[in-house]
Formats: sequence, structure tokens, C-alpha cells
Amino acid sequence: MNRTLLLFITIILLSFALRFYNLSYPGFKWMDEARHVPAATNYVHHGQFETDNWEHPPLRHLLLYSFLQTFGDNPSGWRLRNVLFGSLAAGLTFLFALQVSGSWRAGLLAGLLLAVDPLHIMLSRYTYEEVYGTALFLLAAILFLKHDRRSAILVLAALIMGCALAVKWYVLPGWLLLWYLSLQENGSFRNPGRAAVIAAIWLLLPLSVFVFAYFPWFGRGYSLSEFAEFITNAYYSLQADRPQHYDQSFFFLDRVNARDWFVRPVLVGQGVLLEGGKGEFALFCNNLPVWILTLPAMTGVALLAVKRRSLRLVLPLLLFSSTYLLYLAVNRPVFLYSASTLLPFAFTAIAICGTWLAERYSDKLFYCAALAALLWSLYLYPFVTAKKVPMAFYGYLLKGAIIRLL
Amino acid sequence: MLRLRNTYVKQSVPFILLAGCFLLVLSGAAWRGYKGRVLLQAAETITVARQSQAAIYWEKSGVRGRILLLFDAYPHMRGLAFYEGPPTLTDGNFVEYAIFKNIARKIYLIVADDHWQEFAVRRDIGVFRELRNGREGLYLFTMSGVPLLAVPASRLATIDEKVLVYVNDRAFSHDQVRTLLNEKKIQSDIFMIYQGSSQ
Repeated sequence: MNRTLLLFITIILLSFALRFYNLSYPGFKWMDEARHVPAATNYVHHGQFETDNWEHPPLRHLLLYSFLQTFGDNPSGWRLRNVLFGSLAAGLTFLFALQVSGSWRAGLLAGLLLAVDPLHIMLSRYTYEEVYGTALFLLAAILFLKHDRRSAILVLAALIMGCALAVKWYVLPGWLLLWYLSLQENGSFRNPGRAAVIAAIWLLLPLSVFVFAYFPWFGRGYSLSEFAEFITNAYYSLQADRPQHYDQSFFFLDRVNARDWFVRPVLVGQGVLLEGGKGEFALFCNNLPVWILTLPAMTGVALLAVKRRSLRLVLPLLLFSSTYLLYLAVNRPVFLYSASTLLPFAFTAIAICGTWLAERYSDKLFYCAALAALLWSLYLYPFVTAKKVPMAFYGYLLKGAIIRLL
Repeated sequence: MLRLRNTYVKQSVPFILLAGCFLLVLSGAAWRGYKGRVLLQAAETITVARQSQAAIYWEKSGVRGRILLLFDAYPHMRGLAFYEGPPTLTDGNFVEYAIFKNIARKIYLIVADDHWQEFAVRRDIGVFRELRNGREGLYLFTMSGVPLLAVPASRLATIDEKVLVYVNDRAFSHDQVRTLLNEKKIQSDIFMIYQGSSQ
């Protein structure tokens, strides 16, 4: 077995173990699960979106429904989709970083950082669509990087991109960016025939998947012009979204701005204090000791890419920026869990800069820093995933946090 | 010349296949939508004493996937916060019930012209989009995503397919409504008149 495959499988297995452990707790639908699970059945059977938000594309419902049918209406059925895609995302991050940097060390570090990231683990244990939306987008990007003028691979990448688009809107800038890059490749834009084929692959195929995801909705009698009306309405409705439209006990409401994610600590969630100086918490946090390296790493990657004249090397920055700038620009509330879509690119940039520094200065320092980052993330694992933890070791982290104590 | 033609064929074939695939998906979607609509052949006029009876009649008649013109003071829907099965039908939510049963796919809430200015500035109606380019109307937020378009009566556009009509006789005269529909060349297969106490 070659090294790449071995590392890929190892990262996925580690991610899976962290996400799958004690998955059935709690045994009731928690947070958005109470809306997502019934909405999946409602959509497939009736083409209706309630009780989930109708503005978001509906492939989520089709995916969840397939898991409910396979594993039943129980915690496994609700959550396994995210566990599997979340685990896959860590492996894909390894592959993506390897593809853009050519360094297996960078790939390994990027993949491990996502495997142990507390926010990504939390989201992978419930039904948040950011997890599988990101995994699908990442897979499409990797296939795009590997297609090497093989049409079949490009077609597959386009189909997967269509799936990502049919999960969440914010892959739109990344999708258009990759289309632009595919036209730039080998000067394809200069050849009208080739440009038309690339446009057909990279635009029409994803749009076909996107429209196909709405087939249950069309079954309610809607026409194509009403579909255009619906999509336009979804855009306007999302832009009109405001914090006061939410249940005010929703703890994410205290941080509705993407500006804080990579520069300030953000910790929200709920928990309970137990006897014997212990506590149990379900928390969503930015892992600031690691995340704070993101913006400097993006700068580093940009400089490296210019120095090496490598478009591939700047791809993490482009894909990160295309989505992050969207988050910064929109008027509607943007919650911390949306940051998880940026993490594969953030960790790739951090890993690339880390390995570059290691090559220039000290391998030992690199391994120590990487180990420290991973151990810190693992230290947070029981704290955020509702394990019983001694407050003496974790209580200090709650200072300044927005926690709903039960 | 032969090489040029081969290149042209090599580039055209995949493009045509992919474009064809896209058109096939669009056609499939349009066909699915068309099959999802059930209209009645003959036109009926029904009078009900309770609003919930309107939804019961629609359901029994078998109509599906319809456009509903609602001549009333408010849209009779709230949305499901917690899903535990279909909403229980009441006089206050018969439109929501009709949406859930896939009877109504789009709703026009018709507002009397002389009430339009007062209606349009209300903060509790959840406007998220205004029609422009010479058309007048406001999209109101619904939890189901079903388009709910409030329009002043005189600005109602022509609708090509037969519609369901519901008239609250306390808000609109049904004769005036018929006159309006004739002017706009809108046909209906079920013309429902509610005669009762207003909600």
C-alpha cells in the first residue's frame, strides 16, 4: 500500500473514531436535528421544506432521508451522514493539501488538524449541512486538480460540484472560480469549441444536479418559471434575514459576525454543572491557538505562490477568500458553524507555511508545534462533545463564553 | 480540412451531449410539474359557512398543485414550528392546510385598492421582496416557501391557467371579484365564497 493511501485511510479512521464515539448520546434530537430530521421525510414524500429553512437547496433532505431509510429513525440514522462525510473531509483535506503543495508532510498536518478540530468534530456529530457540503466541494476541487485534461474526471468533478451547490449556496463563488481556472488552463478560453465544452461540463452539469435535487418540489405542480421565481425569492429572503427573526434563546446569536472567527476567541453552547466538580458541555468554538494562524498563513501562501509562480499553491487562498469574503459582505447573520467550510483551506495554508518554515529553519520545531496543536485540540475534545470533565481543568475556558447552563 | 472537421466534431459532440443532458433534466422537471397539477373540467361555485370547509372541499374535489387567489384580509397560515404530522385544520389555517396537502402551490393575496397603501407599510406582514419593472406587489414571508404575493386588485396580472378562487364576502363582493376576473381574463374551476363572521 503506498504512503498516500495509507495516510489517507489513517486520517479517515482517526476522524471516524473521534466522531463516532458515543454518537447515540443524546438519545433525543438535539438542536437543529429536531427540524432537519422531519424535514427530510416531508421533502421526499411531499416536496415540502418544513420544518427546515426553504431557502437552502434540498439535497440535504435527500441525503438524510437515505440514511434514515438505511439506519432507521434513531441517533445513528440522524447522525451517521455527518460522521461519514466529516471523516471523509479530513482525508480529503490531506489529499487537497498534498495536491497543491506536493508535500506529504503538509498534507498530513492539514488532514490531522481537521480530524481533531473541535468545531468540525461537533458539527460532524449532528446534522449540520456545512459538514457534507464542504466535503463535497473539497472532493470536486481535488478531482478538478487531478483531471489532467481527462474529460471523465472533469465530468465527475462537475457532478460532485453540483451536489455541493445543491447543499449550500456559498459554494457558488468557489464553483465559478474553478470554472474560470478551467478556462485558463492551457489557454482553453482562446479556443471557442473547447471553451464551450468546458462551460457545458462545468456549468450545465452542476446546474443539472441542482435542478434534479428539486424534483420532489416540482412534483407539487411548479413550472420552470416558478422555479426561477423561487430561487430569486430564496436569495431575497436570505438577504432579509435578521437576528430578531430567530428564537432569542439561540446561543449562536451572540456572535453573528464572521470577522471574529480567526482573531478572537468564540465559544458558545450549552452545558450542565454536575456534582463532584464536574461538568458536561456541548460547545461550538473556534480553536483559536490554531485558527489564529490562518490569516498570516494565507499571506504566506500568497507570497510563496508568487515566488514559485504557482497557481496551484495559491488555490487555498482563493477558495478560502471566495467564501470568507461572501460571509463578510452579506447583511444577514453568519454563525460560527459556517466557519467549518473554510477550515480545509485554512489548515492547508497553515500546513504549507509550517512545512516551509521547517525546511528553512528547524524540522524539530515543526514537529513540536504540530504536536502541540494536535494535543491541544484533543484536550478540547471531551470538553466540547458532552463528556464529563473536571471543571478544575476546563472551567477557565468558560470565562467570557456564551453558555446556556441547564 | 479533414483535421479541422475532426476537431470540430470532437468538440461538438460532447457539447451537444452535455447540453442535451441539461435540457433533459429541465424537461423532466417541467413534466413533473405539469403532472403535479390537477384541474377540474367544469366550473363550480361553492358557498361555505366556515373557512375550514373550503379546504375540505378542495381536498375532496381532488385538485392539486394550484394557484389560489385569496380575496381576504389575511392569508390564514402560520407555519409549522414543530413537525408532528399534518397541521390540524381550523378556520384560521385552512390555507396552510391546503399548502400542506399540496392543493395550493402559489397564493395571491388580493388587497382592495383603497386599502393597499395602508397594507403595504405594515411591519407585521413580513415583506422580503417587492415586485419592480412596472409590476406592483409584495412577496410575504412564509415558512413553507410557497410564494405568497400580495397585490392590489387592479394590478392583478393575467394568469394563464385556471385558478382556485376564495372570496371572503365580508372583505370583497363576489360580484366584483367575478367582474375583476373577467377583465383580467382569469378562469376558475372552483369559485369559493365564504359567508360567515369575519376573522
